[in-house]
Amino acid sequence: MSIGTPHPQKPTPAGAGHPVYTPTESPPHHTTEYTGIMRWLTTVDHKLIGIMYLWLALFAAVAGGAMAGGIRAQLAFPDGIGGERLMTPEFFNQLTAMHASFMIFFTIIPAFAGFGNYLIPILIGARDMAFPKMNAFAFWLLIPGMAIMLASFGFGASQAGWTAYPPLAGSQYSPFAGMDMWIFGVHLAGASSILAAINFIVTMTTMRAPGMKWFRMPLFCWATLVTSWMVLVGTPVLAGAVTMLLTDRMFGTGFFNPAQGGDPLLYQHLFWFYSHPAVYIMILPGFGIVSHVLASFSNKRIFGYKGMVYATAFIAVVGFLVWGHHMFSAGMEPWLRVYFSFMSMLVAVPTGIKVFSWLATIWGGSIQFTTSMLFALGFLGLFTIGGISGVFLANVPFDIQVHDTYFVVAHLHYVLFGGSAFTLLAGTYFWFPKMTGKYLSERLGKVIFWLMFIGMNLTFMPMHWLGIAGMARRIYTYREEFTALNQFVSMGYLLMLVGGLLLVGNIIYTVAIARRTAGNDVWGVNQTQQTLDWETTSPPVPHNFDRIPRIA
Amino acid sequence: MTKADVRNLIIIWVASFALAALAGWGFLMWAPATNPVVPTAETPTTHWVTAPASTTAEQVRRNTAWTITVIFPFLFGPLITLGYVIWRFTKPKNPVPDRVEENVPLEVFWTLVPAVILVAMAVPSYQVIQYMDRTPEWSDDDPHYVVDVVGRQFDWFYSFPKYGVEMVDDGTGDNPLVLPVNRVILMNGRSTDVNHAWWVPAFGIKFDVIPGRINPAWFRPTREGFFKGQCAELCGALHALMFIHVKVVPEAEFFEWIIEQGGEIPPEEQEFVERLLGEGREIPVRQDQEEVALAGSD
Repeated sequence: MSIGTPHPQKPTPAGAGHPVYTPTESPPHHTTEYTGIMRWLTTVDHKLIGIMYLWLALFAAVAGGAMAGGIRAQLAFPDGIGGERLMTPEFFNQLTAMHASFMIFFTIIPAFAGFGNYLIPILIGARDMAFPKMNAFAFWLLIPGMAIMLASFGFGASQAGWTAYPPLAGSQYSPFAGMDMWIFGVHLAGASSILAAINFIVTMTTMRAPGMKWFRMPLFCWATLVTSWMVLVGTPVLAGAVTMLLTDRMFGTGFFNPAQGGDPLLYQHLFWFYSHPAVYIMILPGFGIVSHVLASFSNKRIFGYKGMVYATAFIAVVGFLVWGHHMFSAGMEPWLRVYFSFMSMLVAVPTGIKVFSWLATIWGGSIQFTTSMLFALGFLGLFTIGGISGVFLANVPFDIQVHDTYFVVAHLHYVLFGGSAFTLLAGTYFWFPKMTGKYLSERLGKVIFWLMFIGMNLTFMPMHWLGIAGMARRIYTYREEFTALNQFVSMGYLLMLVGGLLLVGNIIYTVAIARRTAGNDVWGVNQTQQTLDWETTSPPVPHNFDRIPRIA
Repeated sequence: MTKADVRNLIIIWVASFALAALAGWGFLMWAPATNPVVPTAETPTTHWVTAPASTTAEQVRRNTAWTITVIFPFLFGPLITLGYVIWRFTKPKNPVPDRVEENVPLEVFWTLVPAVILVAMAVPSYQVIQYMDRTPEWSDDDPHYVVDVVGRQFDWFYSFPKYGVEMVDDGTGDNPLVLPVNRVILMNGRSTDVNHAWWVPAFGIKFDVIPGRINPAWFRPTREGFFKGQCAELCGALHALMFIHVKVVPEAEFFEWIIEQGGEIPPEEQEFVERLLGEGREIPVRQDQEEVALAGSD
């Protein structure tokens, strides 16, 4: 099904990265056999798959957000309302474990995979991903993965946190099928990530348009490329760790059981070897997205492009050498503490380069405050706060004090909500018209932004203080003195809830009802940006470009 | 971008460094203001910032103040710069954007300066790590008190191997662990079921107790009073209720408590304890010499 004829006929300004069309290549013959729901179920088109990823992520975000609501309700009223307890401690622990698992494995990672799927082939001037069928397979793995995890609530869901440390996650202390289902869910999500990563790497290595040299790739491509390498190196280790946990549970192997010569600490090392890089897997693509948005809406090109690329790669490499900072209190050699502490602080240097480069990008620009730009600017502020608290956590004496307290909860939500989620929202507002041909409401978008921004600060800022004051995390009740702050925090959640519901409503309304009004260059930014996403129709034709662009 | 913008940028960053120094100083000053509060069983709140109760916690507090001083410029700087950009470089105010795409000296500058600052942050932090890792030398004037801690779902089991005292803190606070003030407390953490973590904020230490391992830690309580902490590693349904209660008392009172708990004093400490508790006090002395030699875990 072809929608419109892409025919970018703009005067060609001098400068790198601007495509010139060669008439020699003709579009591939494209047949669409199915329509309606079957079209989605059978598609191998990277754009449709990308959109399905994003829907899945939205669904998981709603589910995970609802679980967060349960957590906040319990913590607002730890003694219950009118003597009636809201939930059992067991259910509270299930909520904390599943909230994190949903947000990490089924919201943030798939959402970035969705943007990557949709945008990477377009941004590098390709017709599709390198392995379209594998691409579809990677997506469809997520559906049973998420279904298993959701269904585990019926079989005694995991109560061991998203980290699932043995022995608590072992068969003796978690003798429920839900724990095994959690492991299978992680397996499926991990397999999906690995397949998607291979696909991204091959696509970007082999399918760049003529003239699209490595250092002409837009930053979102670089971010996804680096992220894919991290997934490829790290995720198999996580899969191994949870598989060992599974065989410990099922077959009585003793990898993590000291009575059989195993060691619970081994699991922590393996788990964090993946899960610390996973933190960067969850933020680097977002860095790519805001690089596009900030540059576009200040009418400038990104500052220090090469520095940004090198910084991204450096974060990825160092990201694999710092996992021990999650285990400072777990007992390790003193010199190892020093090593992990120093490497963790080192991450601040390339991250600083990025923050400074973004500031330099918008410095001297002509800023337009679109919703997308608001989220990107909000990201910049919130991520700075989260990054600075991260440097504090790299400092061993301080970390030992606040490890496993609400300070860590505050830090991780500043980088994952203020960071990753805000970049996702910026990207959603930015590329939604490209994907659908329809604009999301800007007026409502600004309301949503302020609800999210104020709500997230009200929710997570006081948590720093709670942690320093001594409130441990993953507790369903707390000392009396923390009551007022916890209730305040829960009110902040309500603001975000309203913002989130408005966003979901607006997306569904726009997709279903609004009319297509977007042209090729959705935001009128291509004169400066010169990226290929604005060179094709909105939404793009199935083969993306009638002629493969040549980058001059 | 005009010259005034560059000047303002410089002002912002200088101000950020000044603000950070102020914040670090404020953090340090804040503590003595509330320091005289003696924590009692009724008001057990113990805060490592406002009321550090061990030499370690004091070190952590000072180190945190220093960290704030050197790191907060990179919190204030970007945030204020961001605010300035949002105010100054809007489309109406600056319709023609600059076309600057790179500035290598500037980029080298903002790579190197944070790196140097990180070293300034790291070195003092490693001194504190060293302090935490090295138990002070044992001497007759400064003996160690060894406590074995066992985390269990969902209470804390303590024993003083030298005195044969065993006790359980069930999290309600009725039976706190009693420790002598100004003495080195050496804790050996173990677990018999799942991972837990022993943490009392006011003492500035936290150590995981993990099945199959012994995790040691030491601290020296500097204030008397009643201190509260809790398990800091998810350990199951009632993790939230696994509170820790510690009562720090003068050394004489500590031995009173040991005797009250049915503990016995090893012969080599008999004289010392007699002197502490005063004349005429009957002291239960452990008879079995061999066992004493074994239990003396120094």
